[in-house]
Amino acid sequence: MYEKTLVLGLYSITPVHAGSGAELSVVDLPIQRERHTGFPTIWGQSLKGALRSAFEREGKNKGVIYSIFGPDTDKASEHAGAISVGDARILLFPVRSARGVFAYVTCPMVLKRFRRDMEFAGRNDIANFEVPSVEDKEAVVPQGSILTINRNNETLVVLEDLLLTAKENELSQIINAIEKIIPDGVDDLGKRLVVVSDNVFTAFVKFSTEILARIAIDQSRGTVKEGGLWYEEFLPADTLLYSIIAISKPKGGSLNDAEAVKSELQGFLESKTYLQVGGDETVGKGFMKIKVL
Amino acid sequence: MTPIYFLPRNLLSVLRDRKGRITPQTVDNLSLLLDRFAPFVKGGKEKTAKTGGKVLKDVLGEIEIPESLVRTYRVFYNRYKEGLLKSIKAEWVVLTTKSRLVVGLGDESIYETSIRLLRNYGVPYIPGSAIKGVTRAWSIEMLAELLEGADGFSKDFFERAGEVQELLSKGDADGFPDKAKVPSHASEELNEFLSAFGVRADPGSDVDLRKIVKDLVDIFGTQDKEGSIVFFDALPDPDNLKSIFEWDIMNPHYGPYYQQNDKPPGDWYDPVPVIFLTVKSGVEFLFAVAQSSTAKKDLKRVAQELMVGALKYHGVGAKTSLGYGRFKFKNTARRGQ
Repeated sequence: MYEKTLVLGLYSITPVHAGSGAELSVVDLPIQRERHTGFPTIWGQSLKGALRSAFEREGKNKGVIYSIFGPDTDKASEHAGAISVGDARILLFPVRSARGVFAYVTCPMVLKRFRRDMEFAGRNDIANFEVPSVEDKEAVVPQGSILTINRNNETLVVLEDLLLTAKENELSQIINAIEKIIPDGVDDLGKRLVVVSDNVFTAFVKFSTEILARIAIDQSRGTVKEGGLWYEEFLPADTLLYSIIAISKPKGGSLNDAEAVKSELQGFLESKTYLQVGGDETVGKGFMKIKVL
Repeated sequence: MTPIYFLPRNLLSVLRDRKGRITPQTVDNLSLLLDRFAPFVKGGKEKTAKTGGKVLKDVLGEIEIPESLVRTYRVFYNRYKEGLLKSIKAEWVVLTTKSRLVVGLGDESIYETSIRLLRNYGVPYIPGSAIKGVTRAWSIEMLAELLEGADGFSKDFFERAGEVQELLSKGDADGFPDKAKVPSHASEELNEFLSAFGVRADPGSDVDLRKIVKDLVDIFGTQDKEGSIVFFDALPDPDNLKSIFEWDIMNPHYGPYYQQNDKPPGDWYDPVPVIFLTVKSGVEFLFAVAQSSTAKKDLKRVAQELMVGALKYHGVGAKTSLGYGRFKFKNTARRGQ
């Protein structure tokens, strides 16, 4: 059914609000999360929509767009699009660090899933790394990490207000694998990477996203409008996600085979380098640097 | 006095310096330091430890940003400016703070006052939403000035501004008169506002008001339609970072009068000094606008001129009515695409 795949790396340059709707909670507008893990995500449909609108804006040929993404809504029943855009999954989450400013944090569960997904995508060149095991009070860091603090013969890492014992480990396989999907211009991975336990990672992605208060002001009074205060959650800048795009033979439009769809899509994404995803575009949010392979 | 921290002992022993303080030299991300490692003191008669701007100032002293942070931030800044802004053909301009600046003074904080910092870098910035907000607010004020004495609009300036805001939110350009007369006493800022649209403001001459309103509706969007311009977060120049902060004080004398309805503003109350953190004057920030994905007409230049006017005359952040948050072009104003 699916003949080809593309892997998309997405690195947030500005905070991203891929929203899941309004909620009756402290945060009025939360971000999309996976139901079973609570990890932040960008749903496939949001991503596909962002890709389609970028494609359409570029003035691409209608036939090509119909082949790749499917026809316009009023003709949606005619045929499906040739691509299936997977949910963007988290790989690195930035967490504030007492030393080294901030860290790229990941965990065994995320890494194993990444490896499995790369195998599924037929990218065994990326999927060949070992995943270290890590205890709740540990942080696995590569040699030369800028995050560590030495105190009384102990090497430590402080992430947010959590003190972890640093364990130096050979992480070059993992760094190489992630570097394949990280967009160009982000080259401090080796210095900032930390692998923490699944529990610790879950706590970070749940409780240390960016939550901003937004207000609307009434011009006649110069004070906040009634109902004009809301809290909005963002995936912070410097987060890395990836998505797998599976490609099948087109069922309509002007392209003939999966290879043509792939090269059309790949060519376009390589020329783009940036994609705007999620809400609040006009206040500078949701700009992601992309890499396609 | 050694501050008290409510933190686990082993964590504290790692973060404290020789004097028992946690400072940017031991925690190089200021946003983390302020959020998680608040210092407390037990003062005088009081039994409970407390914190606040004053405690923070006593502990941190003059804040100096460590070189390691400047280096890390520079990478981010360049990725933003040379990477993102260039590639999406944004227009940018560098403006300098003319007065102190504090954005997010009222954000929730244990210190009672706050300042908005980039989460990952602990560096002050101005959110795009604030920039878009003041640009729109200033434009509304300028329209209200132009509409002085116009039929169907209130005589009161602020009520008129409210009416203008209402019409703009609905995208109702036809609610405005077709033409407006430039008042004989037109202010300098009104001239600048009009020149953003390429209109010369000769006193007594007619301007094509509806055309201006249409562009404004297009730039800022309405309740139903996205605006055509992206206002990016403004970031400080990395070269200005080292001593970017300055402590400030407000000293309200009539606390009970402000807080309780039945109290007069009497001289017998004690002043209550509140210390807070600001960005000092003379700091360069990078402001940028770009076309949004739904833009049809290129209004980047207009939007940028409006933004510059708003930052010059209206100011951004807290306490703008006291002159905070104003920007100026330096002689060597830098702008580009």
